[in-house]
Formats: sequence, structure tokens, C-alpha cells
Amino acid sequence: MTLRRGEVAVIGVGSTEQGELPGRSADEIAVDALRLALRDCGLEKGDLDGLITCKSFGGSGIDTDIGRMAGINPRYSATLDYGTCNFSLHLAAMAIASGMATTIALLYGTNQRSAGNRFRAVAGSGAESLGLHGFHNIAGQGALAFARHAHLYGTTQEQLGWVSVTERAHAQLNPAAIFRTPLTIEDYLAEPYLVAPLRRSDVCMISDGGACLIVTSADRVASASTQPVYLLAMEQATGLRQYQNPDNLLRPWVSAMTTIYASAGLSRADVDVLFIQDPVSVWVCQMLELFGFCGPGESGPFVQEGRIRLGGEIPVNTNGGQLSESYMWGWLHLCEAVRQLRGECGDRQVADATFAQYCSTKGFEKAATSILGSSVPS
Amino acid sequence: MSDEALLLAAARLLGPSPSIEELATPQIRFQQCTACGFRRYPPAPACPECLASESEWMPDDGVGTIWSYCVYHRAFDPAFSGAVPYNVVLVELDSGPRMISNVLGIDPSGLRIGLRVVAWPREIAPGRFLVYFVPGASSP
Ligand SMILES: [Zn+2]
Repeated sequence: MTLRRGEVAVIGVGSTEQGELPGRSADEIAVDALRLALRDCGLEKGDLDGLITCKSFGGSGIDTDIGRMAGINPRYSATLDYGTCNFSLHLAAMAIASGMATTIALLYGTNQRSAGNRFRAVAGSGAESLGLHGFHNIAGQGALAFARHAHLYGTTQEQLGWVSVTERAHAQLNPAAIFRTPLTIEDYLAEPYLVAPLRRSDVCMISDGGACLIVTSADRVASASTQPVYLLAMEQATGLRQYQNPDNLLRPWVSAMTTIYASAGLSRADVDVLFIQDPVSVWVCQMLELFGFCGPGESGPFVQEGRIRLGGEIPVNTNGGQLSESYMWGWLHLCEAVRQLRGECGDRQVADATFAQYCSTKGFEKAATSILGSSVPS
Repeated sequence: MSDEALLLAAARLLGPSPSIEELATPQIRFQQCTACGFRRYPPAPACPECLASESEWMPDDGVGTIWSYCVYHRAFDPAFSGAVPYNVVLVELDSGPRMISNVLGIDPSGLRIGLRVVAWPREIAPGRFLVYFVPGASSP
């Protein structure tokens, strides 16, 4: 079974207020997002015959709990234990293509800021000694990855800083973003190190919020009040052997997914707006290189020269990303991609955006990418 | 960072933790697959190369190269608050395994990618040894 280009479309998006939502459970927040997404596309909850939820901090986000809270009995339901929404979107597309469901809500909600997630978890998995060496927080892996990149290619901290500075500039145009105060490259370089060579602005915040996408088959898009955004192609890859893989912190296995452009019926240069899930700024540099938006080792100058800015060659994370908009494990990147392709992004709208790509990762173990379009290339 | 503060932090975090085989001896050693010879790290119940389960713990000379390093200026776990700033390194051992550890006896300014280091297991709690590294080819 091959997914036909444009066989599945996103018809609804919903995102709650982001930041601190005290006194609310993660599942309540997820259901809020569901309500917003249904209202967005003019569907009723009874129109859903699929539910794919995403496990969140503290073990919340299970389909059986959320289905009860939302009062639905969909034919198909599932929970994925990792975020980014890319994996959820792919599962939904497979469920629809196989006839398991026709219209599926993808849901994520978290109250990890209010619930006090300190991100103390060890950086990586496998060896029990990682924590004993103080290798905590994803900043550790990001710092090792960037130091290696700097060693191999001469990438400077200032060049890396342009990722955070650019995303902040985009967030200033996004009323829903949490961090909207200006950030200059001088401000960035004046920040103390968090995990050297990374600074505070290189690492995402912790926030509460919810997001929902509603996905259906192409022959049903007329039932929605919105302009459909089609899934043109999807790819996944893994590096499940982790540290057994050479250079695994650089994720060389991600580049296998560049076949996605041919599957989508376009070339990389046709992508109008790019989304890269960014728990750490370094990920943006990695994906730009691994997907070929710039050559190996060239991401430093590429971001410094403003090529990922709005108005640049390939605008990246126009929502402000996880570094400035909110930490929603990448879910808001897909919400923003849909809104860009609908032309709803106001001051941060990419002119004539027709094709968007989203690249995301689950640690250093899994990766996924999707290309969406407001039209379907023949 | 003082090396002692780092060892103390590890001891605090280890607490009454059950036996971790990896920590049981004062020498660096790995499970070596009796079928194909692959050295497992982290410890695992089966060989990730050939899937055979049998293995024996084999001593290693612990010599390797720093693949990358970073310096923590914040303690994400309070156990490490007395240890910042401290380094974390990814070492590629000549025998294959890639390990996350700390280099002792070095100022952060002395760290660099490509530096040759050697394992130096230290006793962090009675009978519990954790593998650290020091610059050079033979441990103190
Ligand atoms: Zn073997």
C-alpha cells in the first residue's frame, strides 16, 4: 500500500493559550484544543471516527482517558509515546489509507510547567551511569553535538546564536508566542553558558498548552469549512542503535529521508516554508544540512546570513519555534505549517506559501518528515 | 570544579541504588560476545550485533579519544550543585564502545576534541566504581 500524494488532508487546527495554565490537567488542556480544532473546521465530535493521542509529562494523554473525557467512541484509537506530531500524522495517514478510520483527531496536551517538570532526566538512554556523570537535560547532547560541529567545520557560537535570534524575531510577529521581547545577537552572546558551548536561548522553555489537528481523507475535505492542506509525502528513519552508531549525535541517518521530495512531486527548492522541531537550536543546523538546504557544515554561515529569516531564502519556524513560541514538543510547528498554507499568518505570513516541510526528531533515535501543500502536484 | 565534588555528586545520586553490574569492579571492562567478539556498551542481555546472549566480562585497556565535550554551568539535578562547572565528554574507545563520562584532573580550557584519554575507575561508594577518564595513555 502506497499513500497517494494528497490522499489525506489536514482540515482543522486548534491550539490553546500557551505558557502557564495552572489548575488544569494535561488531558483537560488537550480536550480544549480538540474543541478549538472542531470549531476551526466546523465539524462535530460525532464526525470523528479516529483518535490519536500523545503521551505527555506525568503519564497523561492516554487515548482511553481522553476518549472518555471527550465523550467519543471512535472506531480507531491509539496513543503514541513520543511527540512532534509528525509520527501521529503519519499514523493517521496510514489508518485512513487502510480504511481503519476516515476522520481522525490528533491531540496533545501538557501541564508540565505548572506540574513542575524540571527536565532533570538524563540525556539519552541505555547506560545507567549517564546520570552519575551529570549528563542531564537534552542541552548536554546538544552541546556535544554543537562542539563537534564547530570542531569539524569551524562553526562559531555567534553563527549558532542566529538561530535563536531569528526565531525570536519571528515570535515577535506571533501574538500567541510566549517569548516576544527582542533578542539581539549581542544579547545572546552576553548570556551566561548553560551547558557550554550552549546558552539559555539555545534551549527550549518548559510550558503548558494543547494542540490538535483534524485529519481526513481527500474525498471528505468538502465537509469542512476550511481550506484543506494536503499531506503530499511522509518519511521516517531511525537510529535506534544510538551510541552504537558512528557520530550518532550528528544523526547522519536522517539524510536518507531526502527521497521525500520526489515522493511529494516537487524539488527541495519548491518548499516555501520550513519547520524544524527545535528543543535545542543545534537541531535547526543539523536538519538544514541533512535535508540539503545547505551543504554539510555550511549551516553556520547559512543562518548568520539571514537565509532562514522571513523574507530569506527558506523561512524557518515562522511561529518562533520551541525556542520562542512554546514548548509543545513540535505540535505547534504543524499547526503553523497548516496556517501558513491557508494564508492565515498575518504579519508573519510567507507570501504565496504553497508547500511546507516539517522535520522532527525523537531524541537521537527517531526522525520523521512531512511535506504539506495547499495544492497537490500532479 | 573539583574532582571530589563530582565524585560526591555521583555518590549522592547513586544512593542505595541496586547493584549495577557496570559499577562492580575497580577496572574498566565490557561484556564481550562469546559468539562474535563484539564489546557491548551499555551492558545488555543480548549482543546488539549478532543477538547471541552469551557474553563474558573482559577487561579493556580503556584508551580512547574525546569525540566531543561540554561544560555544565548549571546543575539540572541538585546532587551536582556543588560540582558546577563540570565537564561531560563522549569518549570513543579504541576497542569500540562509546562512553559518556567526565575527564578528571583537567581545567575546561585544557579539553579538546581528539584528546587521548584513558579510563580511571574511581570508587564513589563502598564497592561501587564509576569509570572516569584522565588525559594520557595510562591511568594514575
Ligand atoms: Zn555477537
